[in-house]
Amino acid sequence: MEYWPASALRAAPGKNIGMELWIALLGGVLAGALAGWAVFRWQARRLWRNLGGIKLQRPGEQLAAAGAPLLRPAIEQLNLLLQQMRQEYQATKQFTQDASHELQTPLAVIKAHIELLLQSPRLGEQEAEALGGILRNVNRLSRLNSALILLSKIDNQRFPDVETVDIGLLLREILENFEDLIGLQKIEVECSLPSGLKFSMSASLAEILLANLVQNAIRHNLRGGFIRARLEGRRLEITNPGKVLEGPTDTLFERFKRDPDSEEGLGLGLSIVQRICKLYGLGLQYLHREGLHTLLIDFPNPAPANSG
Amino acid sequence: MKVLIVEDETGLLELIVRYLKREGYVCETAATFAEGYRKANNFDYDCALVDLNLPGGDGLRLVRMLRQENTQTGIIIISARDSVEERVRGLEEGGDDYLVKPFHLSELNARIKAVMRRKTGEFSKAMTFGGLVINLDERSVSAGGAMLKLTKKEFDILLYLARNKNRVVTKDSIAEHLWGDYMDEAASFDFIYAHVKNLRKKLAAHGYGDFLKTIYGIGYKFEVG
Repeated sequence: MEYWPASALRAAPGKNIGMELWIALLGGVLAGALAGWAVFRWQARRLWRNLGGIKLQRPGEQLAAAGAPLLRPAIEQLNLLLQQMRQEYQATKQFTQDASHELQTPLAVIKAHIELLLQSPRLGEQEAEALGGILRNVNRLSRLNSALILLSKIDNQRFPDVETVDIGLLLREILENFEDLIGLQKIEVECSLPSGLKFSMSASLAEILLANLVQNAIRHNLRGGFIRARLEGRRLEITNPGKVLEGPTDTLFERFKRDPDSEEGLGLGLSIVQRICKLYGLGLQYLHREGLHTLLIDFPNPAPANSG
Repeated sequence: MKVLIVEDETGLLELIVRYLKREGYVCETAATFAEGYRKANNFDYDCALVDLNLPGGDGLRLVRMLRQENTQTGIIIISARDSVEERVRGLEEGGDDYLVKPFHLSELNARIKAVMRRKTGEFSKAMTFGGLVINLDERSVSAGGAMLKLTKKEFDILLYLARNKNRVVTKDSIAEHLWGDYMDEAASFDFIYAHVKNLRKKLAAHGYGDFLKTIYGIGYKFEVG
């Protein structure tokens, strides 16, 4: 934009004038650069504002190019890419869900066959034992499959039974339901769970969440240990003594992470807990100190009602 | 008793029939919506098991029709759909119970008896095995005239086994019956073991301990002559 024809310089009558021209030229270049930079900053700021304001968590959301016309082509490309990724992710999710569903029926048929075979009067002890082994593993497969279906349903947000759940009350009920099991392992329950903390979420997911926490506290407890459940303000705290965990604890919530010494768990319980927490924006933390394991869940304040 | 079973998975259908025939039920089957519709239209059934996903139509329509035809028919929906809304809708349309697949045949058997008892009283208020009486309304048990003091879970186990009398009932089926899906296997087996032991002790005190047989590694059997 600062183009000066060379002939104009050469035609300059005196040295001083040439000097002035040079200065003007330099000034022009500088001013141009400054202006350019300012425009760029202005555009970039508008874009950052745009980008910063966008939370790409909701499905189907796109980046807006409205505030930054210069960047529109790039943003459109990005949007295209996002859309493709989203479609592929959806397809993968759908596949997982379909595959798990398809597994249900053959599993049901195998189970039914075994149940019928068990009724045979000709069944010897050896055969019965072998069948028992098959049955145990089919059941494990079946429970694993149910858990995977549940996980994919949480991801697909297929839980419309939203209610106002009283967290303290529900947890007391669940502890009561597990009472006999807790008693059998000589575990003491100390709870301080006042009613009153209300949270709006799927009633079935609330139950699954809390039941998983309680089961986890029973399974990883010590014989003659305790479970301490406390609800203070909007924070739920469940503590139990247990074996010291080896390895990093930040992978605790990943799928199929489980205690290598125990064969019981599916390794999906905490993963389910984490997904439910994420779905509703609950804070989830794991603390470990001196042989005590603590899971903390923070229930956020309800969103202010829309006045509009 | 006449039972209609509508289920498109023929492998499962056949196994259900084989299990229920041992109860002495007369079983009619249908593998498609049209077949189910025709049979439900032309005959009267004491009980119907209806799958929701059927080739040719929605099982819920069959449920509605069966209910309109006869209010006394016990209807149990058997479906892989397990959401709360599906269950509520199934019961609103006339189902008496809703069983999610995959289920244990012993659970299905117990549910049929529970539904039929509610509907018609066909399975009366009490189940009697010699001197052992399980009183269903009061949820109490007497042995040779003496009342037994059973815990709630002990009663549930005994009733579940009795409803599947002379059959091997697996431990995991009992666990699922008592606590539903989200139950830890090993822990619940310890629990069942402890409770069956107590239950047997209480029955044995009145000379009925032999009713409860342990099938090693698999489960238990309530055996009566």
